[in-house]
Amino acid sequence: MVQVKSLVKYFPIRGGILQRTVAQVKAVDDVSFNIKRGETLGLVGESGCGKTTVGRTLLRLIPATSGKVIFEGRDVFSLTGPDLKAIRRDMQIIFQDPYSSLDPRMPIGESVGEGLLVHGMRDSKKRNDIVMEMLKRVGLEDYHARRYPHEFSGGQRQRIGIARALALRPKFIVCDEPVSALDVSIQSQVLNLLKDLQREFGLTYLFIAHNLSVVEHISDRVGVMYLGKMVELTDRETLFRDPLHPYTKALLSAIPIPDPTIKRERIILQGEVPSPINPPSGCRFHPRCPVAIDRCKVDDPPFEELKPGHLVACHVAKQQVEEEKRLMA
Amino acid sequence: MASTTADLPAASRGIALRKSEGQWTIVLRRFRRHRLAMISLFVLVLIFVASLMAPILAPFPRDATGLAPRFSPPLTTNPQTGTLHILGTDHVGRDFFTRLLYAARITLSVAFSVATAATLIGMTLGALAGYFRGIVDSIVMRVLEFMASIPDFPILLIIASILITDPKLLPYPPFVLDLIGNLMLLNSVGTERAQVLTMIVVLTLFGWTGAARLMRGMVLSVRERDFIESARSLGANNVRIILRHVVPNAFPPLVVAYTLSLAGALTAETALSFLGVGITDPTPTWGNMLQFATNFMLTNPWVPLIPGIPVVLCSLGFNFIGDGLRDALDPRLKM
Amino acid sequence: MSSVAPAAAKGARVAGKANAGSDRSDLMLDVQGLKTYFYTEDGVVKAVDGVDLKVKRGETVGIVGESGCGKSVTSLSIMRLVGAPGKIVEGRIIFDGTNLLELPEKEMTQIRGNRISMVFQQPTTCLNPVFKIGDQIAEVLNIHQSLGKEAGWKRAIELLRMVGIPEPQKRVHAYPHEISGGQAQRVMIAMALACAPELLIADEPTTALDVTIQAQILDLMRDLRDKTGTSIMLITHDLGVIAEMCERVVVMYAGQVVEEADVYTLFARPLHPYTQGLIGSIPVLGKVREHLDVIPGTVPNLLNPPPGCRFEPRCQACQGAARERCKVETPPLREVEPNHWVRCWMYEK
Repeated sequence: MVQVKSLVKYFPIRGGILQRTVAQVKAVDDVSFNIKRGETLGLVGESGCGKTTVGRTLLRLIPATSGKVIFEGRDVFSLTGPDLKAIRRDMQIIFQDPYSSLDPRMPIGESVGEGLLVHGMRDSKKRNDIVMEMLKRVGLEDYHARRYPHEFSGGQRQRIGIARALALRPKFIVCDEPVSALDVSIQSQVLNLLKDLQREFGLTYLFIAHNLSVVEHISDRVGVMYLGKMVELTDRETLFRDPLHPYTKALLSAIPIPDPTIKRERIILQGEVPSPINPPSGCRFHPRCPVAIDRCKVDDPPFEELKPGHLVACHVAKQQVEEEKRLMA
Repeated sequence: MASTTADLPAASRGIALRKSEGQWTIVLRRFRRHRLAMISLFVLVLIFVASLMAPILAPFPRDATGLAPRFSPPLTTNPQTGTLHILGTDHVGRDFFTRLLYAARITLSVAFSVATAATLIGMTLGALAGYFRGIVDSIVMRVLEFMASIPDFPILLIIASILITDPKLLPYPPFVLDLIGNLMLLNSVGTERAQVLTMIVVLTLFGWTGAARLMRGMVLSVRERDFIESARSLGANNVRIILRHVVPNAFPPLVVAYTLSLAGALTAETALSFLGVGITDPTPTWGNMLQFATNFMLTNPWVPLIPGIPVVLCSLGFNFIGDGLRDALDPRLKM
Repeated sequence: MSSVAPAAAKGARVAGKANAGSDRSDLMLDVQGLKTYFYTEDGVVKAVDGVDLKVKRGETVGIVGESGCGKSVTSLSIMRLVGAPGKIVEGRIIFDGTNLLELPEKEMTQIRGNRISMVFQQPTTCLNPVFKIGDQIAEVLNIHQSLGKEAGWKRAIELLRMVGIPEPQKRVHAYPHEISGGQAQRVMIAMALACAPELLIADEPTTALDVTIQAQILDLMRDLRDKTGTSIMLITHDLGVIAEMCERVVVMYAGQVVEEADVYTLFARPLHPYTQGLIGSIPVLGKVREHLDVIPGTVPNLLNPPPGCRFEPRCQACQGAARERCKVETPPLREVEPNHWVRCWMYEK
């Protein structure tokens, strides 16, 4: 359904009197993946890894530097005018911060119905019916429609955000950290709602989050990003049971498990994520990688399918997989 | 703690059915709690209404001289007509109360015109600069910086003195002059109308920068918020985004700035007129009334108070109202 | 490690003194019936409403709860840092035998940052951007230990080395904006430990950090606790962090403690319906379920809390007649089994 091919997004840093580009933040650097109809693709990574930028470039909320996004056979980046507007009906976004994603000076009914109005539904009665239906579907009442965002709690605002995205009956929704600003007990309400809606409306999700447990819960396949690159992409079970990339392994072991009886051997990564302005040479993870070899410093590993449906970008993992195969043979 | 009234079902349901709990209702409710602002509003409305009713309230013609001996003290009875000079007479025997009323009309009209024009211009330029950035922003900001780097008042003095001494320098369309004249009850003969209009133009020229800067800042911060991106992802175009999302959200501080710029325009006009390069006698303004009053204040100490008190009241009043609005509009305070 | 020695020595000394005086020996902190209210223009917000809490010497106690449950206000109350319109209206905070609420402000400043110190959620905003890191650590040492500038800087370097900052002798000269969030949190911990406090209050110390950095910081805190024997009060909303770090857990809801137990008991056999819901509602790595448990509704507004049990409007534990009591009467926090305290009518008798 969605094909992302070599997506690149550099943010220029301008300086000096002439506002010349002095450096570039390589937020997303050559990322490719596919999303199948009806599935949820999870995208995880730490702050600054470019996962949010992927979501926004995909929807053309920010222009891409290069690359291609094909949505149902149409090249999203080459569309203009009415075609672009039409495709926006099908692709929606749910934002992380429920406090800033709703216009504070607009009653929420109007916010939810805005997309319908923009897409030419002038009949306010019809619009109102859809708004009410959507509000009810996400667990709010009719009378809420006249209220303003400040009258709602974070969880309710997130529901409103979902209703707003849903009103246009999109096929594909980018969920950009939709639950990370919410309290735990509210988080599960929203996650369950997203799952139910997916089944009901046959939605396809790109679910972006930094919380691996949440991503594991909701996704069918998961992609792991590090410093603008995709380092591993496979189905959920394989990723959590048999991760190949050392970064994924470290990430998984770093998550505190809410069970005091489990004592794990933990891989603690040294150092911090380097700056995306001047990323390390070769494999971007090599300065922090516990298993790095000399080759990693100079040679950027390709993102390739090491096992069926399991894509990894790592020299060491590749060697191991090949070793295993030889042993099997 | 975020208020979560939406959860309280029955109690707040009644309120919800009316549209009354909108943002402006809340603002109004909180403004009413600000005592100084409410008093100021009352006083200003009083002065405003009085100035509107100037032709009815004024006991004498505006410019008639020699009505009574010069500097008759307040509450002197006019020897010819027997009418009371409530505030006495000035240095050429004109009725102070009458002139004060007409002056209020002129001074306040000038202040409102300047503040409105300056805010509108500033708002538009600021919004365009903030939303489109790039070259538009660069041009507006460079002009702003230029205006900020030159000392305001001396330049204002020079420009005002050149234009005011020869108001015919600027070609005004007659209908604008008529409008101004009728609004402020000015004489249609002579250069009085052109002079007042020039005053407005000059003050506006220097007054729009604050609003522009503020609006640009607001737009820059609003446009980074997610709901703008959300609107764009729905397919909304720039016009809709600016008019429906950006401007309403940037509006509250602008309202505050508007009231404060009313005070600014009022004092600036008063100051220029006081220095004799603004609106000049016989057209009455509080500023030029003060000017003459100071010449005679050693012998007649009450005279400067007559135009002085309304200037202070209005300028303080606008400031207090601005304060009240700021508090009422402050999103950090709980709703 | 030389930098740790004074802490241990001091801890032993203080403990010795306390032992000699009375039998309050192993209790570091004992909060009794604490009530902190906020007097806002809309009414009184009962942010903390009768909290009891004990921290033993050398123990790590976790306080868990959602936003607005009063966990942060509790910690600020202990430090007596609640600002207007908030006010501590009732209760006793007994720290090593003295009631902090009765101390004059001057003596309280002696305790703050010296015997009790705090680590906050946003490390970057807690550091003053115009001073070098070394200056800020040295300042703490100057206030409490009258250490001179040179000695203070030397000690600052030691402390930075202790919290695992590479090249500490270079890093002391850095300004806060030159270091990352994880590094800043290390600096905050270094500052908090500068005077070898007996109690460290950590308010969501890792919430603003990435997972791999969180792992580093938690590791560091565990390590330092084992070396210095400091008691830690760890405030978080993350049950995973609680399970990894704490020995005892206090669950808070809407300004009250609803359950308290040791960490194994709490996770194995949570008794309060809220705790049960909380544990059931989080996705756990490696244990995929189709649907997560849900606690319906939202946290009550503390301006106008429910009259009976505060959790009653969201509670799914029981129905019918038993429920009536919950609606009108607030249950007390009772010891249901040894060292397992619960605030719920279900466990009466």
